[in-house]
Amino acid sequence: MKRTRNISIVLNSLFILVISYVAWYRRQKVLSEAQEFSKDVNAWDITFAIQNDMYLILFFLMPLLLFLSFRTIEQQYEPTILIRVGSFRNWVYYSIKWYVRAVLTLFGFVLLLSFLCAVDQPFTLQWSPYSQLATSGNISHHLVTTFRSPLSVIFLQPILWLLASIVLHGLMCLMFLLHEKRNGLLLQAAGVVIWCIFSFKSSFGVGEFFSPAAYFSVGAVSNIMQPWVALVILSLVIALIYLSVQWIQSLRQLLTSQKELLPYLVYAMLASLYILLSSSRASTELQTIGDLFVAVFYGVSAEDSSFLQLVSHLILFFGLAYLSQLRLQEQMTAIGPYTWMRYQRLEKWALHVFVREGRFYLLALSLLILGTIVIGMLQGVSLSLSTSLLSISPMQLLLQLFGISMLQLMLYSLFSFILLWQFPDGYAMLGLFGVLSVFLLPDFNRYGIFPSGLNGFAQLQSFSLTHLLIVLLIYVGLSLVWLYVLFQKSIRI
Amino acid sequence: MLQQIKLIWSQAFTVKRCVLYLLIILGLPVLQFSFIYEGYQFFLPIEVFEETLSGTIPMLFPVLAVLIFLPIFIAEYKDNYLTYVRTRASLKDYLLAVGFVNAMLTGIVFFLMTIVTFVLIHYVEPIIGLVDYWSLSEKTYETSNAFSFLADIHPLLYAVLYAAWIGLNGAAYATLAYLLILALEQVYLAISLPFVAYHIFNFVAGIMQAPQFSPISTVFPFNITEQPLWTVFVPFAILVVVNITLYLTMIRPKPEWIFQS
Repeated sequence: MKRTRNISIVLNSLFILVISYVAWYRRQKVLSEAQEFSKDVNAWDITFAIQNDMYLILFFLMPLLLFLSFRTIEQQYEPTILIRVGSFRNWVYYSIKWYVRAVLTLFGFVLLLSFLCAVDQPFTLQWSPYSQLATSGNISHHLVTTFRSPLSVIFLQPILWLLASIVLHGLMCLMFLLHEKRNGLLLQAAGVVIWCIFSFKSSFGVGEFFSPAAYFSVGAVSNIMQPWVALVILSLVIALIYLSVQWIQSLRQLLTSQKELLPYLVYAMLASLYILLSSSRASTELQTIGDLFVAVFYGVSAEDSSFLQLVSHLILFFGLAYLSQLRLQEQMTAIGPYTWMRYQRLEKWALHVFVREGRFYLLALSLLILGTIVIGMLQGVSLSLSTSLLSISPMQLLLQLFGISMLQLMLYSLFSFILLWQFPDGYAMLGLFGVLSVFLLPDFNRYGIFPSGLNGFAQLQSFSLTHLLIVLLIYVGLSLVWLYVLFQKSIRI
Repeated sequence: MLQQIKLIWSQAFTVKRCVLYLLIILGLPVLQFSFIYEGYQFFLPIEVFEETLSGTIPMLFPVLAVLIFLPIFIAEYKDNYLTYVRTRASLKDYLLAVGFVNAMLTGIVFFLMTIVTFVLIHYVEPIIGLVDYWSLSEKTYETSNAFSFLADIHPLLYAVLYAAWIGLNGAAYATLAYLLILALEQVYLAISLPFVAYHIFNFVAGIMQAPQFSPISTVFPFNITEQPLWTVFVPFAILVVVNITLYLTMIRPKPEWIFQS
């Protein structure tokens, strides 16, 4: 007990030392910069510089907040407490209550110190002349563009601290309840810290929006959105945590029993993210749903390729083929021999497999197209299939989108089936994806004769629809003949 | 342990496997070179080297990493070899030896691929004269990357350290696939996941407009403008952390008898 108390004293002293040093350092920086440009400072400049120091938040406060969250969960998650509180929902409230108590002391000290460091400076209710100075390190200058008075910042800061702390710990609790593992909790905490540092260092909009660290600073928040929007977002996340905790049992059951759904969920998430971002990125050029289809399913060709288009096509269509491959793998190796017996001929079994895969592709393509239409309507584009981005008719657009895509996807599955039949170990299929993805690179498929990525709209810049159709039909025909020969030679049934 | 490593190492050098290594070391760079040596504007041999290592090799990188040694282990695994190893040696030692050979061999093959390509393009090709170099005075743009500062010190230093970087990444991807085989016990899923994850992270980095953190642009940083050196270590560090986590959480706690072939 005495040892724990000693450790606690050492840790508290270290905390006070670090915060005091950073506060003193920030104060000196503000004062020296003000002196350099001959501008007067007031107490708020120093107070806000300390409270909004992103390096302090990222590298000191965030790890500390996550450590406190980790310790609170570890200490409070035990059977006696769970029995006492009666439900997971009540346990989350109970845990948040303890956590808020712990972090209030921490933030109270930061607040106190930020005032103490500024105590010798003039106290006014207006922004200082220094706050008009546009230098990169001047926090007051960022704030002055959003807030009329420093008082609104000082009122908003504790509210943000409180709400962001509740959200951070609430999400940590929620995630923990899904797995209930100490190492998992550690990983969660490490993941949050790494994500926050990554978002801060790379400074990209989406990352900053989803970075919890940003919500602990009024300055960082006002950089990316209106401050009241941040309060609404944090309140909404708290409401979401409240709702999710109500359904935590069902969520846990879903996660444990539906592991096979995971690849499909990952695919759906990536595809939705891509459609959403590509539609919003190109929204100024897009007038119709047809334009949106062309932008989203553009793909790559030998002459027209970019990194994002290439990886997007890989994820959207090779991703679908990979999901189909996973099922084929199971069909042909694990449960294959038992299902073959039900069919008198291998051809009939293969037909059954391909019909099922065809249905899957049809459903997936329909959902992709439907998702694009919904997002397009939300963006306010008109419901017309004509496009000004390519010189094709609506009918050709539909044929490329549905017909050629279906043929291309079925061909991927046919190739996978043949390779899996000949090399059941699976690395031949991996090689197949590798080789097919190479044909997506610029210059590799100059004549449009390799059956890879032919369903992208980019291909229509170089080849006619008839050309693509004939190439794919030839490959499908050849693959079917190859498969027939394999079945004839096979003694596997 | 050392004896086991020697034994496994010797298994990796059959004629068929040596042909595969040669194809990776020489065949792929030659194939890519044949596409780029004409029609591109080159000012220095180092640019030809970087273009030769772009395209095909980055696209196939995780696939190649998996194909170098793991098919030998997969064949053993599927033939229930692990069951018989258990009676003659410590299975943990054996699996460790396989992991070591897998990482070493993959690393060495990728290292050789890069260094041989560099030597051929930088020292041999100018003698043959296949590439028409433009005069440096006509150069109007920069082609530097995260490792270019090494080339300013000495081109060979750049080649050796960059080749080591490729080797290290190759070893990390091969180790990931190996650990996944042991953890998931589903061969196809395990060997395909590094490839899938590689492209998913490329995609996510692409749509988040942060290509400097995509696996493809950190291992082969020739398709983006020069980035700080620390950026290349971000996906690599994640890969190493995933490998260590997989080992600590899914492999190490397993008792020996639980590994099934």
